[in-house]
Amino acid sequence: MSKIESRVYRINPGYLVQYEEFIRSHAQFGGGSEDEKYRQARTFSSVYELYMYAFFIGLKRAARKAIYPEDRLKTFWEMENWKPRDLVDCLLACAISESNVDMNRLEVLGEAEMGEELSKVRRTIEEYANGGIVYLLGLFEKEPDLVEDEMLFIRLLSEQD
Amino acid sequence: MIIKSLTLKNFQCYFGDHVDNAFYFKEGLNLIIGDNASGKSKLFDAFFWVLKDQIFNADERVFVFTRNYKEKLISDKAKRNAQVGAKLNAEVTLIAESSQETLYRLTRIYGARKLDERQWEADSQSKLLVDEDKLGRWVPVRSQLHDSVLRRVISRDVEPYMWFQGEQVDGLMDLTDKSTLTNVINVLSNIQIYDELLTISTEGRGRAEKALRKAQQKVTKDQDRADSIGREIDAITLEIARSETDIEDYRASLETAKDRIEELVNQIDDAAKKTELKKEAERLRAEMIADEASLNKRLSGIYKNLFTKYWILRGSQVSLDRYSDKYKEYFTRHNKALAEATASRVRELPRDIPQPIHVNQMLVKERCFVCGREAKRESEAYKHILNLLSPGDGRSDEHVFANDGSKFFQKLYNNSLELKRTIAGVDESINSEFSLIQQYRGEIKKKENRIKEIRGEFTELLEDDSSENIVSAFRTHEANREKYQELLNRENRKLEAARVRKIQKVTELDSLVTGAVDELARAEDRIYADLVEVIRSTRNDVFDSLISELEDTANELFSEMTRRNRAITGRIRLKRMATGNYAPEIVDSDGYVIHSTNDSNIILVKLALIMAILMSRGKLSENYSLISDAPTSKMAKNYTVGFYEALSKNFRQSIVMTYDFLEGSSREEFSNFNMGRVYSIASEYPSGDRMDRSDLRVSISEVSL
Repeated sequence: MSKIESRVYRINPGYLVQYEEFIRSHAQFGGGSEDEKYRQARTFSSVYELYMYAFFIGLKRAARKAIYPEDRLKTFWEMENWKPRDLVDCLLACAISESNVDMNRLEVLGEAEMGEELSKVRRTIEEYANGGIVYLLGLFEKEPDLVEDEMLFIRLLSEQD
Repeated sequence: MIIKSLTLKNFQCYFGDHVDNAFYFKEGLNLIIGDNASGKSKLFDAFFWVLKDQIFNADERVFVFTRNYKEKLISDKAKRNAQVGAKLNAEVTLIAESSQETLYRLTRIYGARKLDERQWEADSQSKLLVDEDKLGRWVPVRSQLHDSVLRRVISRDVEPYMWFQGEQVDGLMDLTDKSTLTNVINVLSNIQIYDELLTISTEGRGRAEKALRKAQQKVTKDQDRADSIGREIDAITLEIARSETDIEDYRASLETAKDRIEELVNQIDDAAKKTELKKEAERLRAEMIADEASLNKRLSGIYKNLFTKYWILRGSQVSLDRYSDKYKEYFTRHNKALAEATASRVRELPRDIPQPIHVNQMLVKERCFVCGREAKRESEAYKHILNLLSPGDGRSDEHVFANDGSKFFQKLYNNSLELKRTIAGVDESINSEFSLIQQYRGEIKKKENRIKEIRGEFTELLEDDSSENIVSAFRTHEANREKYQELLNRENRKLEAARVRKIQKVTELDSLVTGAVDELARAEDRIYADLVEVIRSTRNDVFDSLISELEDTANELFSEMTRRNRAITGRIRLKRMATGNYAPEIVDSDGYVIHSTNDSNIILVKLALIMAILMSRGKLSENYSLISDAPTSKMAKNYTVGFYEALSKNFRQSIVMTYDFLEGSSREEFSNFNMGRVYSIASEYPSGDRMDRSDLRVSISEVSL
């Protein structure tokens, strides 16, 4: 595995601490079998699944939330642990394309500079994922009963762009 | 034990010595046939008295101890014949044989002295002698062991079901009390062990949970938060317990509403229409349950589709295309840089010249042999010479790029190309799943509406047949059914949510742990949780299979008993109640409860159930003798033969006092039964005055088959 690849998979993106409650109410924490976890809450079986969903819905809706250095972010798990891997790779491809990271420059930089350049990818992931959360929260705020719609997240995806 | 004989001396109407009043029994059905007042019930009393020291007081209809019954126990004829000052004894001797073929002799004796023609001085209590046969000699058994011998003749738990009078059958099995059957099964099976285990393990689980929490709180990084989570877990645990209780209550109320509806529906006269509607409603309900299960399965798995069917990528194609463009641009620049680097190396020094051995010498001498210039260690010239030793193109690329990411970027590119076709099909995949879900929902709604219509049709049928009160009761119970079903669903959802919250809190508490939690506490918590589940499911499996076995056996007996008379077409059904109890009911071939069953049939059902219980796993029918006085007294005559046949076939030994088969001609029925001995008894008044009890004795004759 190249240095770039291993550094990319070690990215551990976060969500803004103020969205903690949203994350907890829509994703399962802890162990248990996959089936059991889906059955229990009819939501996402892990935080990273919800996070991936938030990223893609943010991307689809062009909902990008700017993250500032003073913002407090909560991380959960490095991307190398997320599954399935081909979806994670798609997410990375999208993040690279939406960020202004210079892929050729990455190849000639030293360790420290490479980390800095890659932070653009991490930041892009965080901006779309948190943007997705903001978009979802806005929907719930407008229509609180949407929480009862067990197919909401899928419906949102399937809506025409 | 199997009873070999019963002999009586001056016991009640049985005047005379043991030898005059002797009954010998074998395995199979033993009958003592006699008319009313011939001494049948007194004989039943004798079995009871010898073991229990109690006698049935016919005036007060209760069993009383001998010390309260006094000299009335002794034959009037013997008392009349006794001289003043003489002492008379009433005695009953029962000989029983254990499964090890050891004989036991039990003799109860009660005496009274005649003070004058009217007064007797009775013993304060009876005396029991127990002997064991040892090599043909009767050897007394120590009094401390008497009780254990008595219990082997008849167990206390079984006694009401194996030694009974016909008139007691009704009380033994109260079909209106829905816990009766459960109680009987509890007494006669080992199911209580599971209940006790469940109680113990549930308590253990509670303790283990608390101990684990305590252990977690000891090594937490945030004591305040851990304490607060601990309190939240306690509150959720209470909430769960409350929900479970409410669910039980709602289930019981729902069950009651359903029962009442069933009863009212049974009152509709139009049987054909009723059957048709009921069958349709039942079919629709069953289909609805299946549809709901399929729908829930689809819904609960729908979020998985986001990842397994790549739905999540819907709308990301533009961005992926952008990556493709970016990658192509990168790729061009990457290759250009590579080509330039390779070309410059070729210009500087052909790869194969000079030979590695010369290059090594150049490094040792720190001088280039080609141009003759100095190449000091760490200098650019030295590094250049060193690179000449690197074999292959790969190393060359790495030399060009400090971090070659080409393989990784290409992997992302290939991956996005591969998924392109899948993304194009996502819309169709989502639509097809949505339409399937809609289809299930539509079907469920359609069935719900039809069930409502059926309910309306039932109401109309009831209106045709019944009073306004019944119709209004029907509507009330239907409303209750809906109400409790809704409450039950809501409470179930609440319970589920509380359980999820508890899991989350427990996980959160665990995430605060910094050190090592006592492994024993963790193991204990896990083991108790598993144990509770295992015991609960095993208990239910055992109980359900016991019930199913009981139902089958009772129905076999029931059909055996009714074989000669096809008037009864029903079968026994043991219906599981929401409370976990089972209630017996007779249903017709369509599954309707037969409420108009006559008393005779009810007795038959009860006897079938009692016999089935005794024949169940404990095989009590093998180990004890069934003794009954007039069991068929409340039974229609044409079922009695079936009852005796079932008894003879299924019980190792039974001894029955009866007025059946008084007519000699009716005894042909015995020919195919597994018979023991048959006696005929009759009361005798030698002086001819049937009112003079002091002249009464019983004549006993064995009937040869």
